[in-house]
Amino acid sequence: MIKLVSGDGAEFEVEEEVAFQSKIIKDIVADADDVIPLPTVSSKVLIQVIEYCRKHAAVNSFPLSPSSSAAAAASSSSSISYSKPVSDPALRAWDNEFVKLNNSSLFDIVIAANYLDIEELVDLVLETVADRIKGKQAQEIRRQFNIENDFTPEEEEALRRENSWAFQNN
Amino acid sequence: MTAVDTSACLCRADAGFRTARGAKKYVPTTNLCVQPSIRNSIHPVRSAAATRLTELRERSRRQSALLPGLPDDLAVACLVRVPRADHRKLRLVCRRWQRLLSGNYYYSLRRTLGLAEEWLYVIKRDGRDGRISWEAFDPVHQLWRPLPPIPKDYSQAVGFGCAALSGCHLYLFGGRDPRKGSMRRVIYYNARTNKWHRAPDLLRRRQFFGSCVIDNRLYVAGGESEGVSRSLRSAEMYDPSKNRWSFIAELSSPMVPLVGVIYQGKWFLKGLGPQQQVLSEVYAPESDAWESVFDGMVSGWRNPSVCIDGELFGLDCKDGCRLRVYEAATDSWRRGTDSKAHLGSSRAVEAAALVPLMGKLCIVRNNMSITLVDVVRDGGGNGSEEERWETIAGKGQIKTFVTNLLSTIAGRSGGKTHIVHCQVLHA
Repeated sequence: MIKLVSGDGAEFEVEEEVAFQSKIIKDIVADADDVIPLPTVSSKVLIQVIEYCRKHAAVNSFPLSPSSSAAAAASSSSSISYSKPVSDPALRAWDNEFVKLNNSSLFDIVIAANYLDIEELVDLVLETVADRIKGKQAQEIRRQFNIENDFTPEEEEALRRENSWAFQNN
Repeated sequence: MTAVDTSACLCRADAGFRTARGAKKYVPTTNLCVQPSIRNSIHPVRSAAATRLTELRERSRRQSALLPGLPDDLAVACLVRVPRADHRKLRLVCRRWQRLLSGNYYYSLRRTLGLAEEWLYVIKRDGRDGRISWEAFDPVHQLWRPLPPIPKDYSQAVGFGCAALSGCHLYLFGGRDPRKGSMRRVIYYNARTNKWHRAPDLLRRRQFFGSCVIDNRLYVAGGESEGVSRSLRSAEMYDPSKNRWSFIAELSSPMVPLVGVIYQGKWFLKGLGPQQQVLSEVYAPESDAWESVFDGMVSGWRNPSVCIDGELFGLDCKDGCRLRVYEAATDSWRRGTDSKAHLGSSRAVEAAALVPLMGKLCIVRNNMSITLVDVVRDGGGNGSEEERWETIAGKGQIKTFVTNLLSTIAGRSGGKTHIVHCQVLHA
């Protein structure tokens, strides 16, 4: 068992295979002890991340098809990468439920997952956020992600005019 | 005459970022691509541009996050996953998004991560009024996408060239305008910014010439020019990294090229000489020399052709329902894959262009129907030949609401239009 300590001091005991979904933890454990402080991760976020790792550790330890393990081996080269979708449909459905959170919760999770180097989780969240941007008008994107429209009215008018050819079509 | 230093883009396309890891560490706000408009890009002052870059850096330091609540590296990693069709809208969100989505960093990252999408650009001429227009086809979503209009210089031009450089720049060059005559003009469209820009002029006015791209350099040869009685022998080359045209070796004899293809790193051209005789020449960029060719490849070569995975493919019939392949060993063309679906011999179904698209051979017909042929797949025994053929756009889909309305009013059919050029751009 490995003990993870969140930024607000809460301790979580998790099995090795769950904690080792994080490449960073795997590296730390290899040359240090079993109590790992994670000062930048709150307990709320850590609970969610552990939940994800537990689910994925359970599925990954019984690979359903040779292709899924081959894909996992092939995807270990870069940290922020565009990985293929999770092949197991049941796990994919679980992932889809897992990310049904508001944007700020998703952001907290992806920051933690990036810090802990859990590639699949980073991909899952980024993909989800990208999906929420897809197909939306600029105004909707600004509202949804709390982005200030810093164009001056003249600039915005110029941009609209520049793009007028596009708006007549959709 | 020295080339005009227009340098529309201060940073070179796709410089650096070989790995995703390297890209991740990069702070996007410090690599802004300043892309001036077509008007003021003709004589930029370097120091002014440098000042502007510093200014932009200063400003971006004070700015809020790309996605509030997320560090910028993760925000960029998220935004690169948004499909290309949405990029136009993303640029309208705020200044930082606009700059990110107009710069090379964002698109280099998409490319490195294998997220860059290929779109097919089709330039066509209306049979009635001779007007040039263009459309982009998104093969993944199988939809035609709107584009900003073609600049006036080319709206009625004939005999102009078209080529893709740096993966995302579509160049139009030379040709003849009904009012201005033969042109030296060169303009390009940047798929990353969705805008047109001006590039240095050709050294010679010319139309109905041949052109090709080898090692991201644009080559132009032969053709004709107004006021010159015979066709041209001269040839020139544009290097986008130097932003300059220079003459290369002249053709062995004047020629108006009709077909051209790159095969084994060499440029093959076949066309008509001054006495309307058929000529074939090949250009080797390393030795900068032209040579006449008389082999089986050029003698059996008539229609548009394209090289994919080192293999040379040509059409075996006008409607592009059968292909043929050149076999170097026997120096002859042999029958290739057959769709077994003959479309007829009308002008509308004539195959106007062959281009490589998403690793397949793409056939574009005058009626805007598009067929992909999986020529690389080795016949592993299973699957019929017809299964290699896939039509991804039917005829008539091109009509948007507006053009539909116009054509109804004018009572004209789409059959009059024909395709002048096809290119593929990534973004």
